[in-house]
Amino acid sequence: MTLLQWFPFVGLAYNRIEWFFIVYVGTINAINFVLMVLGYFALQRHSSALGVSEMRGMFKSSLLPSVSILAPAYNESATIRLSVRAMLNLNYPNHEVIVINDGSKDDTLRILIEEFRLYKSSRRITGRLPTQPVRGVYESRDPIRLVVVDKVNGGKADSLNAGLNVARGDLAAAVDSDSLLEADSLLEVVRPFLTDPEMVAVGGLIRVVNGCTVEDGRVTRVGLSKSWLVRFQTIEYLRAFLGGRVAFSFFNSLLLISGAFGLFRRWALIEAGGFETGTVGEDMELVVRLHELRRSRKAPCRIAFVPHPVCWTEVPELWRTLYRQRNRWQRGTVESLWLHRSMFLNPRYGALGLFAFPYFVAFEALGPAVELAGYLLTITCLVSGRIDPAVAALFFVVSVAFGVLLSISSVLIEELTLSRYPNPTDVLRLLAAAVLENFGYRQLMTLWRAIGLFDALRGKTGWGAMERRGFKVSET
Amino acid sequence: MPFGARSRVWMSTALVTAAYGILIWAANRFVTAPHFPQWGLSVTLAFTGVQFVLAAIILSGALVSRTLTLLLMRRGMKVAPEIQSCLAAHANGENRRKRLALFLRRYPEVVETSLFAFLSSLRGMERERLQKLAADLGLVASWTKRFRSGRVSKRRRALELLAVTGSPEAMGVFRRALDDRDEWLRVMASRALVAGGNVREVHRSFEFALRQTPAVRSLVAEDLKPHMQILAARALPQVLRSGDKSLVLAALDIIWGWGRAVPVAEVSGLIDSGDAIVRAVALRAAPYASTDGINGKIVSRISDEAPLVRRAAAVAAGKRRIEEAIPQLLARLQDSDERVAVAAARALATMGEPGLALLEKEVVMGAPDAASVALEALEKARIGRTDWE
Repeated sequence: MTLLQWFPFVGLAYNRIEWFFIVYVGTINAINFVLMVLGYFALQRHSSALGVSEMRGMFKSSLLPSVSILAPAYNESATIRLSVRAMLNLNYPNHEVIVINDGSKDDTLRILIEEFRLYKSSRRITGRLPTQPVRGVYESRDPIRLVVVDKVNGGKADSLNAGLNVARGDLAAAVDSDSLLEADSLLEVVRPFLTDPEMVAVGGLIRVVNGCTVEDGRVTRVGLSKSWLVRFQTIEYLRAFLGGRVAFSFFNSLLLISGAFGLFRRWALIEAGGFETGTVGEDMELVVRLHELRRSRKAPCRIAFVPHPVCWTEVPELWRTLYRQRNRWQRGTVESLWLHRSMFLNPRYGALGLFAFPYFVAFEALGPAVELAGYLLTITCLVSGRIDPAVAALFFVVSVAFGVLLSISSVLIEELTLSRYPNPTDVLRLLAAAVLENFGYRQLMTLWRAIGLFDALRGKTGWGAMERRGFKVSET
Repeated sequence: MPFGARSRVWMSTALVTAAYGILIWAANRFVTAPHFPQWGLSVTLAFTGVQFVLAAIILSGALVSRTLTLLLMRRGMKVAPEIQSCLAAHANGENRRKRLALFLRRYPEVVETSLFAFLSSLRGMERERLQKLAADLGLVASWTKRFRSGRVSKRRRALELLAVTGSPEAMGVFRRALDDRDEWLRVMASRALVAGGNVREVHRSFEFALRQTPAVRSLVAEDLKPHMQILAARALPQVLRSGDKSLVLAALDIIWGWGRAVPVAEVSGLIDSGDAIVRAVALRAAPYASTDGINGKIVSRISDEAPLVRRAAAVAAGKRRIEEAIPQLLARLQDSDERVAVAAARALATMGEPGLALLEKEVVMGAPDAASVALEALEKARIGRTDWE
């Protein structure tokens, strides 16, 4: 007796169900394709704005708003020295770096105290956002604007709120302390705030640092990692940032600014109540909340993505770490969408309520479960001979081949617009990864995300640990 | 992104999607449908095929273009020293026009780049000879023509090249470029006009800066810094008296951005404006407005009803080291707005001994909030830190 005979409704309607999966997967891919085309043209337009060298002229200007960089750190002893140095050395005339030591169990705080000659300061905590108790605030004796907040462990969102409480800049940048910002990244990410008074938040492009060479906290040679796992993730980052985010930003419907690098008007963050501590997707939740709060009050709200300021981040090189990360991302997405479900198909929120939010619900939150069910049903029906092989082939062509095309397109967009990989061999390797990730890796991610969806539904919380290998530092 | 640019993005997306649709229809009709009778499969395969072919073409094109650029660069590098020595000889008075015209026909990019480098670094007779050479070789005319291009990168390059020639024909191009839709082109044009040193053009750039975004304004303000005394004589006072809030705020922003003393009496009057934002921005610019009686106005605004004005006044008092402000600053240590309290403490710390003594007293005897603000200010003063707020 086959599995299908236990489910008569499936047995009767399997062909129609199969067609549902085909149409579903085809629709995701078609929408993603149009978003990618839109993203390409929007990227081209963006390149006509002030570029890096032009922005450097502004470095001397005192007209730029002050920025507080908030970098939560938990057991980051491997990378903290380099990343804080990189943040302090950013080309920006008026910025302070606030590292929040979230109760690290390793010697993150000791390294910071010794490396930057910190003393326990009397700096006033002016904010009122509730956080775990702060054990002390440290500042440097050297002429560098570094503040370290040492507090009881409370998670990333709690740390960011603690950082916001001591921040004094007009703008607040939330970054991961294990990430490296490019020297001009702040200048560029600030630009939308200077050109659009309605700008509330801006996100930058996140790139994979694994495989690159880092000197003094700066990426000096862009390269591709030898690990295929990292290469697959590089493709995922390109696809997500250069396709989706540019396009969603184009019609002011961006629902996610990566927690690794986002810049906000500080008053807007405080007005919104800071970062939500009860979710693992605090970055997405905040952006959705900002949209909801401001739009429901009919207050202007622009949230944009700019593709040039680059933040380099270390991606997992171990399968188990990647599993935890993806599980967390999926739970974060589901939680954020659920918390703000009133926006779903709500015309009051414009394109965001009518397109971006339903897109995220249908394809990002529920997508993995539907796609996984499609794979399982197709294989089961094909094995039991209950499906036309042509229909099964169609499902695989739609899901796998279209996935390959989207990944290749993202590499093409990268090559045609930003061109950050100087070695043509790396571009070819990326293309190979764009093809190969669709045969096994993507399906595994679908499975993990489906588990994440299930975990979110049963109320699982917690982050899980992320093992750091540290940046590949040049010997020169 | 402006409306025009947005509609161009939509239009391009619609065109590309339509072109894809047509290609897929054709591939399905003539290639896949005859072999795969099932409609869904045939269309999907057609889409896949079309996309693969296009991806291959685009990628090959990108790689070929990258390789060609590399080859041309290498070829250019071989002849560059010869071109540069010709240019150097011409600048020194020898006539190398014919030889350079020959080079220009074969290696236009290298000649342009070398000429640009020479014109940017030379002065006096040598520069004039090369400026004349650029005109004689028809380069100025060609760059002026290139400026009409629809491509931003071409217009930018043309303007950059024209800016170093300093030719009178180029001035018209610069003036037109102030209205260009490209932000950086507008900055470049303003920069070129200011570099000429003509007072009328400096005024034109100043007026241009007033109407730009803060990003552009900050760049143009830096260019205008050497001419601030000229602007302070007439243009700045006129704008500050105009009553147009956005222009007044922009002008005050520019004064603050310069960060140097400039004699503009009108700033003092704006400190008493009925609009709190104007008062605050005027106070921010006040430390640089060298005019009589401004100190009294700053002190009076430390007790303003608006917190942003109180804060700006406290900062201004600290920057000008107005000792008469000490009692008011001390009172503000208990301000309901913490940013005002912090600014007042910092201002007191910059006053030297009298301010520091009061802060010490406040730490010991003051109310808890005031004591904590005072303690931080004292701590910073002791380690010689002034870069905090």
